[in-house]
Amino acid sequence: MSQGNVNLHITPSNVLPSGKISFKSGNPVVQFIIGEQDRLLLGNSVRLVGKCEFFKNDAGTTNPIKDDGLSMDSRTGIYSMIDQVVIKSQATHQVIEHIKNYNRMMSSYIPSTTTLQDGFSHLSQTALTTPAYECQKNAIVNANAQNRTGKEQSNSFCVHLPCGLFNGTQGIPLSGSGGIGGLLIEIHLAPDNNCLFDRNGTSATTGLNESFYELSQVHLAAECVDDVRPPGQTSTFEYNSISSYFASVNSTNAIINFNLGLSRVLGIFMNFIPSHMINNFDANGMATMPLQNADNSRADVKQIVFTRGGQKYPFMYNVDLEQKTESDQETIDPQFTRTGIDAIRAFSGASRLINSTTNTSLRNMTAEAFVSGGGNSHAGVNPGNAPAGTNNSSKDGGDCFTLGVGFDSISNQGISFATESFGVNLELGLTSNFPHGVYMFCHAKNTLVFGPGGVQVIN
Amino acid sequence: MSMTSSSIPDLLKIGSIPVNTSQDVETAVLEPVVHSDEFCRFVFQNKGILHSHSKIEIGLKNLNAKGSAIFPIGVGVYSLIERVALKMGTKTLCEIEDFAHYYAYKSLFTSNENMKERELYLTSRCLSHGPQYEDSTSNIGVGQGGGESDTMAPKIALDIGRDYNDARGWNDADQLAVNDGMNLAPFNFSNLEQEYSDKSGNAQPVRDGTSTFQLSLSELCPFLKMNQLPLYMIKEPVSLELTFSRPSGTDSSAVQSRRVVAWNDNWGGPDGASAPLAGADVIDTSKTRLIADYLYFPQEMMEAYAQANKNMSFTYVDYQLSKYSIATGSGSEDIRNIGGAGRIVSKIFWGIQNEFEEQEYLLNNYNSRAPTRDYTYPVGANDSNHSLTCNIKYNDNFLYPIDVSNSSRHFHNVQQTEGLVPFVCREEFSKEGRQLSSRKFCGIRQGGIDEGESGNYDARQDKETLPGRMFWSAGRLNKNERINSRGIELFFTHETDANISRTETSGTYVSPGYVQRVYLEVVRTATLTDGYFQCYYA
Repeated sequence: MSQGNVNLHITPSNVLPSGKISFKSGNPVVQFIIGEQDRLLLGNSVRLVGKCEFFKNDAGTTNPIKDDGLSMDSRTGIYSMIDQVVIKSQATHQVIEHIKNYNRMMSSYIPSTTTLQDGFSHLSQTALTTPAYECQKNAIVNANAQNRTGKEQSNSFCVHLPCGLFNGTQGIPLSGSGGIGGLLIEIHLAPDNNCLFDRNGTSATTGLNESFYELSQVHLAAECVDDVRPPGQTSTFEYNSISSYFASVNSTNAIINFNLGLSRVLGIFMNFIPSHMINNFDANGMATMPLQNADNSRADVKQIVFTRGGQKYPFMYNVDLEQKTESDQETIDPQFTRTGIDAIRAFSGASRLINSTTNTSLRNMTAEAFVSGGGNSHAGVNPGNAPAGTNNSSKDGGDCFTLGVGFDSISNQGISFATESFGVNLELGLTSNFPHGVYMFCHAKNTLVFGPGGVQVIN
Repeated sequence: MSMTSSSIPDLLKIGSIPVNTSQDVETAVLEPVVHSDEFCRFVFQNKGILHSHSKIEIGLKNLNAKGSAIFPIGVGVYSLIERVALKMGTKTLCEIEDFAHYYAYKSLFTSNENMKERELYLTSRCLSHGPQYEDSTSNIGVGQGGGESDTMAPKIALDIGRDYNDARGWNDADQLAVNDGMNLAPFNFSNLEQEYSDKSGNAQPVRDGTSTFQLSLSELCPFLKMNQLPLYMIKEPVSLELTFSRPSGTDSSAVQSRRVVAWNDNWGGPDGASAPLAGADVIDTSKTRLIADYLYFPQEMMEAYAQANKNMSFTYVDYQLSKYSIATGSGSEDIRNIGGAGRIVSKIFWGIQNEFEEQEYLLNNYNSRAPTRDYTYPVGANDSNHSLTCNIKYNDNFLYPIDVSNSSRHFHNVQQTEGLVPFVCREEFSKEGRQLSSRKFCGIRQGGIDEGESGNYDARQDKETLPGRMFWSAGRLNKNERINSRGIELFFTHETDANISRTETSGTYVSPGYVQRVYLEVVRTATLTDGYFQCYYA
């Protein structure tokens, strides 16, 4: 038998005869089956491939043009269309990894692992990002082929799916004996109104609330290598996983508490969004902006206390941010930014970041103004008609506001939260009735045990 | 104390050696033994171990007001090199034909940050991007410091670390004179015409000559990235031969330069009907020199190493070129045998160039054309892209189970082949979307207007020169097998743009058409026995 890699081309197992996939048309789940075989799947080679098109009317006959306000998040690109990623054993349907709110996870992950130049260059080709909101709209949302009978449209994508299993360096054994018995990968698409938005905030009057995106020619590309291990033996496979949680805060003393049930937690990070912006065609559902009040004024984080089982951990002190004593300080406290990055990857190794002083500052959102087709300014010279804080009024792809904490960037073995809860107490300037959604993600090590008896995930 | 063979570090492998090993570096400046405008040969001194990051300094003579020029932004000063050969006596250890095209592919993997902050100064490469914030269409706000947006960037464009000149609304006669919209002028040190005029057109003193830039030995001979040459163990003369690329002809309409990017106006923008240069892009032979670093370890260690390695061998990769003309506008499938029979080929990469894409283009000929697109300008209502469909067949099997036609998948295949991501934007790679600004660099338009590239000089330089110019494709032959006697077959369907013609007063010149260059990375083995090298295909 020859040694060496083979390329796989996996088409969805549940796609309609038209090959078109969209949330709007009622088939939001795309399923891929990588069959049982005596090969190792190279997780870092797995790519979701296809083409994407945007429509601004219910019938799907009209594409957006320059003067329309239809936009999508510039930094997450195609990732904003993925709501959940579920990876199961094909043989047993045992869930190996399930990331909910995947697009929200990526909205914090991308700024902490890539640079602005990455966003303009290779990610623009593969993930349809361009961290400059107007350029993203021109180059991607408007890059459609109206009346293009018989012609190809423009937006091709080919994205890696960052998750614990596929980010690992070990080959994933697909064998039925001594492996996981094939993989079943489900991609749940995000609702159109959480992915697309009218940046002018007038979707009801302009009819952009009928907008939707549609994927076509979708397939999964991957590489496998021959599995030369002796068959039938029990093996273990260690991988990182992302677990997701959702909470809501609406007071000056926000308390978030979860029983994670995970024994090797490496880091926890979270991002915020005003609840009214979720699934709203008038707001960017991928915004990762600082908290704000109902009148769009700043609702600064003043103090953070991370706890484990009710005790302060890993910091044995209250993290007092600069805004606690200096309310006019516009720069986000460096410790806040640093720990947020550290939760996603070790800060010492984080050499590629979009986070910068231009997109990690605190401003009253009322001062933001947007004039479509013209200039806009943070100074609020031109009162715009955009909804407050669409996250599109900032440079470099918008605000990067991620709260987090890394637990173990040295031994990389993690901290146990199997029996003890994780908590974070926030002292906020949130004095009005303005609930925020909190998307929390936990980065932990898992062990997959597989053998003739089946597959078992040990958290 | 004599050294045992097990205690001798591998001196030739680039990497770490014990910290208690002393190392001396001797730098020698070597003049070429033969040098003309077409060819140059250096002969190394057989001493020490040649440091792979030794450099060659090279530059052009002053253009003397026959137009302004810079080196192509993608490959920089490597545009001067058409062919490289490293020879041991009469035996060729490695050789790359059409080197600048090869290097155009390799340059994709240099990050934008490095291009802007390092390569611009070392090699004159400057392919870096940045958002272009919108300039107000009126003078509103000028009194407050400009009516510009501080967040709204409709497009991205080249970013070399200096501002674009604004031709609109400024009360500056010289800025207005440009009249070509926003233009980015190169740094003075990049400009190969060293007779400057200031903004008012007053001539400045003529400088001594143009800047010189450097070529790295490890880039010219890729195997040196992993190995260093033990010159002290070699008894044959070791020579490096460089064959230079084509300069412009005196009839510049028919024969253009493959060395530089040229324009007429010092401040950007063509201002004449005829092309510049007219044979002025000549290598300054007085400046070319090799700055060779020779490494020395303790004599005992070097002698012991030589004794222990009287018969040594190492494997390395070399690049073979397969070049082929393809029909313009073809939408039918081509099947090409690109060679490789009997060889171990680890990867291939290829690109398509138009032969008339030369000194008037920011990348010169060192590009790879994406399939054509049907866009209308300035705003598109019927935009669509054509696609490249390809596959690779070797040893009776296809590399991909289904032909690849998705352009992002092509991009991914390049990434998988090299293990690095190409740092080029979407419109530069696949010509998809409208990402690139119509602003100019050196008076040559970057993106935004693509209505054919033919016409007179002014018209040609006013057409976009970056979209779809970095569409290199690649495939990793991942079975680690020797190619059988049938060789490798490349299946592809690629619909090119229309051909280019140059309309000048002396006549109309039509391009010979498109050329496909395919590079095969083949594995070779070299043996050094008693001071004499032998090399052969693995």
